[in-house]
Amino acid sequence: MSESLNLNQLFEAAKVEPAQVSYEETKKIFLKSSILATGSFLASKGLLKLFTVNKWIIMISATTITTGGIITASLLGSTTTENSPVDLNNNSTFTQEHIISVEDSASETIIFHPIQIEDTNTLNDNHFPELVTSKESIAPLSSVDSLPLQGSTYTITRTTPKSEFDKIANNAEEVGIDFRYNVHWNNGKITRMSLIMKYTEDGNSQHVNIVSNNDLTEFNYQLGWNIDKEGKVTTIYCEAEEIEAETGHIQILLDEMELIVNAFDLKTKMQGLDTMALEIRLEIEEELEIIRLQTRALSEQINDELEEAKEEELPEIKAEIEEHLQELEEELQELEEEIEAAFEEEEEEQQ
Amino acid sequence: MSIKRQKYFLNLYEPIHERFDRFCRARAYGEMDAQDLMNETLMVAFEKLDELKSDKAFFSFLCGISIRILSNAARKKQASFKDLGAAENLSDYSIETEKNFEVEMLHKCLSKLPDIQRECIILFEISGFSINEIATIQNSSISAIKQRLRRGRERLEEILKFEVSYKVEGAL
Repeated sequence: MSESLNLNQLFEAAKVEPAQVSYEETKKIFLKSSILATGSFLASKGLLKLFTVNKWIIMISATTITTGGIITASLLGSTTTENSPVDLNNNSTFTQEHIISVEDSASETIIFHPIQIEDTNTLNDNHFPELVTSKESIAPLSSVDSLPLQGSTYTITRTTPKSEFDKIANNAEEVGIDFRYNVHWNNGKITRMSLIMKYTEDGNSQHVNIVSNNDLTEFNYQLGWNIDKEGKVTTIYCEAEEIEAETGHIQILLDEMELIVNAFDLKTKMQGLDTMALEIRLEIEEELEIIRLQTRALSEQINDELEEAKEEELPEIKAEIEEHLQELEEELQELEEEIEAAFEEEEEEQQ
Repeated sequence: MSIKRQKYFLNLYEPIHERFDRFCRARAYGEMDAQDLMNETLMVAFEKLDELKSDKAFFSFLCGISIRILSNAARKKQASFKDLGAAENLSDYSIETEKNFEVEMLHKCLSKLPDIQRECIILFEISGFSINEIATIQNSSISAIKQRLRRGRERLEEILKFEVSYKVEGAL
């Protein structure tokens, strides 16, 4: 050691000296001590503070329930926020695009063509969207060379009468196409429709299948077939061109929805919820870590104390534990009831 | 909820852990195990957390509690013979480097000051409290603190000189 040591140097060294005991170690000791320092009904018997177990289990349950509650509340909150301001008519329709395929066993060509298929959502009285039906319309389209150079094309709209279907069926039968349909009208408008158009020759087959089992605002199917010079059917097809008109209507609805989303700043709110969820998760992890440490400390302590406990004391201890477990169950039940009541209140407020 | 309280407490404690560790080692040297002092202080602080006026005052809150704990321990020991040599026996950390040795030397020298001077110097020089803060912790006037610091340093320099010369002679 240098003789020239002076106080300032020593103080400087002491100021920056690293901790001898790490924070983690101190934390563990603190958590362990905090358990042992808690009041105990068996302390006088020299046994571990089993009352701590009581409190501790309640604490874990409460943490779990509360955490679950927070997450549930967040989810409920998000639904309400998003939907409560929406004031749409009860039969608003949202559309999503599906891909359907045309199968042509005669050739290896399979064409995928997008077509609008509707999933109908209706809004209930509380304006919460509720999925009522989901229908599939399968409308295979023509193969590559399917444009009708020769042949017949028929248009089916919502107002197409039964006579038109009969006419199509007759004409199809003349060229060997199996055309079957099952259509329901209400006030002159089609409410349900399913039709199959199938052509088979030399073991090769093509088919068109359209199923619409719910009210459609508008639709326009163009179906038909091509025939070659010899009068044989080459392709059968169905196009749903006019449904694009519906897309415009749907686009308006989507635009309106976007406006609503922007107006109420829902995106930011959703991001806020994401952040909140992340924070909650981190908090839960931290709390779990504390609980783990406490569990370990508690378990070690219980083992130590039980080893020291005299055999004759055990039945008495057991009886006391059971008694307090009973109390614990009652407390837990009360706690659950309180939480449930709080959630119900919260839900009512949100509504 | 207790777990929230623990978490809150630990969040307050984490950033000041190193400072508190240094304070305890300097202050407890020769009187009790520094880690015991830390643990005991933390337990008391946790119990009395409601008395904490501001989060920023947490470190001084802990130091105040440590000082009270040590003072109570000293009172209990008054009846028994105070063995100055016990200071060396109670050092609970190894002297591996010269720097550690120097710091331990400082702690040892500090332990030979009267408690009130010792605390004052530790709080000011090692823990970095201002004179005003120390005045609050020690419940004294600012001028008293200044005087304590001045006298404490003078005394400490004397002790240090003596210790250094003693060690050097011993080494020779």
